[in-house]
Amino acid sequence: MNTLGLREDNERTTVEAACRGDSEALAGLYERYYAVMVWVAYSVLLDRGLAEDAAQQAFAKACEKLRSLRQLDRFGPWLATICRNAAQDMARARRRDAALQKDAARKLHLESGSNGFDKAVKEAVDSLPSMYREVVVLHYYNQMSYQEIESVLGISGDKVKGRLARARKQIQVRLEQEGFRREQ
Amino acid sequence: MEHMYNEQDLERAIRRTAPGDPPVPDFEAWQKRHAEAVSALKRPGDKKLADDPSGAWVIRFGRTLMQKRQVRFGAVAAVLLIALAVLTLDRGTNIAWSMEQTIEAIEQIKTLQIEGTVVWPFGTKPTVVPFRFWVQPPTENSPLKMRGEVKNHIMIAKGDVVYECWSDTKTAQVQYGPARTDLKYWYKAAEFVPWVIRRMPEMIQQYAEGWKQSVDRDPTTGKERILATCTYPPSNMSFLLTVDPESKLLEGAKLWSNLQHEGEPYIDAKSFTYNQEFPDELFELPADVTIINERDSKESRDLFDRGEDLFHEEKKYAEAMEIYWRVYITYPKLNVAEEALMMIGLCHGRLEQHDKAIEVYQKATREYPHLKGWIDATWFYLGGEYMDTGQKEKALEAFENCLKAGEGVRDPEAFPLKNAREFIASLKGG
Repeated sequence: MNTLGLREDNERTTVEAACRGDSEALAGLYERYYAVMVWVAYSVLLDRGLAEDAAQQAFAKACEKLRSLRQLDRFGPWLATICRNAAQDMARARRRDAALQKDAARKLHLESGSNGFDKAVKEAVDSLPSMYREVVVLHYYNQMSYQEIESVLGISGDKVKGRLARARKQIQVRLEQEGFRREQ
Repeated sequence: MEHMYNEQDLERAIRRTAPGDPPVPDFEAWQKRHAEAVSALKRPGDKKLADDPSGAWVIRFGRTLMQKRQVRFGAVAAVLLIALAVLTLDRGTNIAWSMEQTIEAIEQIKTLQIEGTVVWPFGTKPTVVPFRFWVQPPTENSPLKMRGEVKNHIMIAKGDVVYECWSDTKTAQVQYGPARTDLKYWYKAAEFVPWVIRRMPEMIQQYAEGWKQSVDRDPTTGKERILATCTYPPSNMSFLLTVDPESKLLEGAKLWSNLQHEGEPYIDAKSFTYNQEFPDELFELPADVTIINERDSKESRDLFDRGEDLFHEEKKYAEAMEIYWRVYITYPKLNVAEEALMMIGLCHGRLEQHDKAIEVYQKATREYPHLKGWIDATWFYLGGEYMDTGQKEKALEAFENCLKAGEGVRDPEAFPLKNAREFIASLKGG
């Protein structure tokens, strides 16, 4: 089975049909992968609205290139790569906006005096390297199992586990700096 | 004091940090926005236009028209190009009109003025604004001349030299015209002797779809006219063209960025005036405009980008500040100087030098009060610094100035206007 509960041969057939211009197949792929694409883009951009834009642009780019995809059973990882690249391009283009907004958000949080565990966790997740944040976001935000992440990102299950473990460790270190200690 | 948490607390907290509800796919909406991508897949047996070397630039030009920032004058140029080209297709008509007649008529054109409206995609939301465009095709003694006006923006081209100027800053950039994305099609067209047509008709004939042609009378003037519609799926465009049966020339053209001729046309070229004599000064720059050459513009941007790398990627704020100062001192008349001052303020802020940051932001708001670039953000950061130094009255005033400077320019629901409103509420509430 692949990431989203469909058999791999079934997915291959769907991708083949999409290559022939079958709208239903294309819609099926879009619906199946939309959330994954949004979260992959979010892990780069840290902005939900932009992530949705990046996901939609990435799917359009994927359609234009679909006929050049040789391994049809690797559609998921291929699409994730396109989406990641689209998000990175977008992030580069708006890096200043992002930095400024982060400054603004920081000032506002300081001013309102809001503090707490959730805020510290959010900052810790946002400050993870995007490679780690990607698996955190897919696992926790999109409720995907290790196996599902393995399939959609095209990396081994051990790598998924390793990245999640390292991400959690980094989050804990950050939380400790903020005065939150994990119970032993 | 330390707070304790366990693994489950952490996992639940991570889940709670997810922004918004789960993403919901809407394929129909996506398909409408990306019809070009879908149509590429739906043409399995066709020879793709992009595969044809001569067709590739038609596709690029379509994309440019719809997506790129530099659509301003190119858009007007493009609609005319396509319109004229499409009109030369001999698809049969009941009225006395044929391809040869239109080509012949076009070849007689000495000047052309187009007026109409175009969707201006910049600012807080797309707006429909008027445009004017003048073209004088090249002759043996004179190069191709063009002038375009949209909002505060004027473009003048004489041969390969293009002056692009902004009436609010009184500056003009000099560029090599054929390299400009939005103008190169005009230059390319100018190569097609005498000045349009030749390759376009063949391509459009092959690829345009849904050609419909009818004859009716203009409801205002009662004059007979030819109406033609067609679509161009690879670029997700549709057209309505109006032709005068007597002169065989275009009288009007509308272009939509969808295939259904729906909604506000992206370009509505309402009037075409042919062979009017243009005064020489039409193609001259206003006297009070300072010319900035392309090299300065590029060098300032490259230098600024070095500062940006130091600031955003390497977090070396003191070094970044030096670069930004160099930009400001070397290129004070370019827009980039205003951005540089704001970034210098941010560098001071990151280095906890709040008084210096305030000084620089004040300088920026004094020297560039009317620029619609980053002045709203500069006011916002000035307000932030006042807050950091406990000057709440001044902070409030700065945030209000931020709202004024960004009004109609920035999305009110995005940075910095949204943030400024939040700060104002927080200051007034407190």
